[in-house]
Amino acid sequence: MSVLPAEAMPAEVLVRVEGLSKHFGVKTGSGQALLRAVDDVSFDIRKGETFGLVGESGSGKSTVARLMLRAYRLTAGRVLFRLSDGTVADISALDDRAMRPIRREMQMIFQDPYSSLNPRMTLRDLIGEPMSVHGATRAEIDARVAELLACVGLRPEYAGRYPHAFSGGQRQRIGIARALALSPALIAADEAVSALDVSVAAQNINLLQDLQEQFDLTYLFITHDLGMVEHISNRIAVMYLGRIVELGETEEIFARPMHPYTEALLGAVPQPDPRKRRSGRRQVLKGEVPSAVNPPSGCAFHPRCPYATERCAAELPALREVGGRQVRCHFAEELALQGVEA
Amino acid sequence: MTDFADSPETDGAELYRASARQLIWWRFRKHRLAVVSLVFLVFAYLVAIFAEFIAPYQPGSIEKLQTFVQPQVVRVWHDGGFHAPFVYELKRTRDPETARVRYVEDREKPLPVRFFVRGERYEFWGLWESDLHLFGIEHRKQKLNLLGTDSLGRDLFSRLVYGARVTLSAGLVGVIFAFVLGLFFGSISGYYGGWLDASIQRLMEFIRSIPTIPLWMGLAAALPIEWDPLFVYVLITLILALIGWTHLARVVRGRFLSLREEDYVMAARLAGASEYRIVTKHMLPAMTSYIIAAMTLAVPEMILGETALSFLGLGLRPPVVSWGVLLQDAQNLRSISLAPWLLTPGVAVVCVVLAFNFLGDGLRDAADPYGQ
Repeated sequence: MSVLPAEAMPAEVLVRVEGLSKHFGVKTGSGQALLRAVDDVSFDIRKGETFGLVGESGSGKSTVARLMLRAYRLTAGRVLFRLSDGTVADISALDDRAMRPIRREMQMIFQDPYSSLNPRMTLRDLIGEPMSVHGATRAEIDARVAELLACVGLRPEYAGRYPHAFSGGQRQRIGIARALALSPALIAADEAVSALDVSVAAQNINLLQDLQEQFDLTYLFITHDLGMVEHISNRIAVMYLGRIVELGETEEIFARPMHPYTEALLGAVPQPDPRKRRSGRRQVLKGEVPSAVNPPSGCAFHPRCPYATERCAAELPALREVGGRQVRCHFAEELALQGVEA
Repeated sequence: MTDFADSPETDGAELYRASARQLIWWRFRKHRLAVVSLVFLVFAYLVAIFAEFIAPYQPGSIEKLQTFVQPQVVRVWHDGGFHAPFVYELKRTRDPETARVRYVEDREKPLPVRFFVRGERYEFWGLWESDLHLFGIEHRKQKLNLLGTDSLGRDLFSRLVYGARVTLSAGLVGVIFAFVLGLFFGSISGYYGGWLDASIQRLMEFIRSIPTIPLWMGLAAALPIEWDPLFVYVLITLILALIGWTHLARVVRGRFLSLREEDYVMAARLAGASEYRIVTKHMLPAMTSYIIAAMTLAVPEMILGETALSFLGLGLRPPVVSWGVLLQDAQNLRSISLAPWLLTPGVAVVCVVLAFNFLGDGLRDAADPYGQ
């Protein structure tokens, strides 16, 4: 069966993703084609950490989160999840019905604070829905909703209001309250603050960090905002065209990237302090993300890479351990790439 | 933050607590024409419900000596002074040249119009018997014909009131049936997609290619003549509903395809909600307003359909009284030249259909409370 013994993965690991792939069939002018949204992605998320997943639009980072939470069926790979009773479940093998009781352990915060809240439900029904699905009584729900609203800094009296009464930042906090409703172990925040302006985003980030301490949460934090990810994540994985190209401790990656794509991303982070100017040249990413339907041969990044050689066009580099982190580049050791000062 | 919702309960609180239904109602109220139409339709349906009480006579009661009576005028001025409403007694005469029957008012004999008079006995919805009518005149031979009479001397106003009951309701069964089918297949098709969607779509295309008028004629001929014509009519509308659901199913499918991708549907799924709960609590409520508007617009189509088919002799037949059947009586030159008042059911049809369309427009405009 899909329930594995507790020893299936190291004790500190909450989620293990192995060889995760998701391919979509898409219609093109000349017939069917395969879109490799996510290809052979593997990583561990440790209990209590914030794992950042970064990449440009279309890199497959949202798909990874949705696969992890089993919103989609996997094309290949496994997702192992440590349940609150200590056992490990292979949730990739479960059908929707078997998945239902496990859903309370993992929840999601959405990017769009408008479309993620049903406009026809009051806050009480919105935040209480996960509980009522899992069989809580009305009184339990009412009490918990009031508690959760207080947790995210909204007045408990607002429970009878509809989402249209709230601003974007407040709506996002309603979404956070909903994600917390079942006291999950893991929360996937998919671009959770990208739609908000900077000051409101910062408030919500701080709220998320407070909640993490308070409820012992583990976050999968998906974003394209590297400044944000540096602030909040313990470890990050950089994705390009459905594959992880670099994975490691946040500080190390920021200080010294090993993959040219990471370097280019870091080069694009605005540096507000003029005294902390980058030393030397700055890599500017040229071109656009290639189509995932028809990815470049070899290393998918080679058409945009300033260091590319013939080997890069011919041979797909493996994700390998280099100096305590994982890099998918043939020349990870040779290149001396530019980081940013923290 | 500049969040006005953070401030203590103020005037805005009512708006913040407003459900979608309230928002729709608030917007609908601003649409004058639609509100007037709504009032008119409520009135029309009330008249249809209380037809026995409101109509002064039974729809089938024949008066041989009062055929083709012109509409009578209710007056209040008599003999140099105001009176309670009354009509003059009619005297039946014959035109000496054409030998045509004419009805002349006898200015010496006013007959007061009374409210809550005792008149012909009737059974109210087959529940209890009564002879109380909203209005009428108390006279042994004379009758009150607000809209005149037809070739058999039947009171057209009474027949119009009774006809409203059939016309305004007979097709509703078909409309509701079509909506249930449309919602069911449309939501399945849009929610699951894939081969199920493809096969339902092909089935719908096949059904839409069936010509309806020949089908209707065939059915009208095939069903046994001794069956109750009203039952036959409802049966035919049900069969037509088997064809008519495709239009709604298409729209529902389209909305479901887009709603399926909404984040709040994903959120419900991740919360562990069952498919039934997702469809009924998250997806269908998002389109109730559309469904109500579409249904409002489907009813006049049904009324026009009834009228047209009865007019052609394919729908309802006498002795059933419906507006279409009444118009069938007006189907000859003689009626139009000698008794143009027989066309008043046509006016009633136009008024009701227009009112439904205005109401549907108003509902559609108000329907999406989060649109603008």
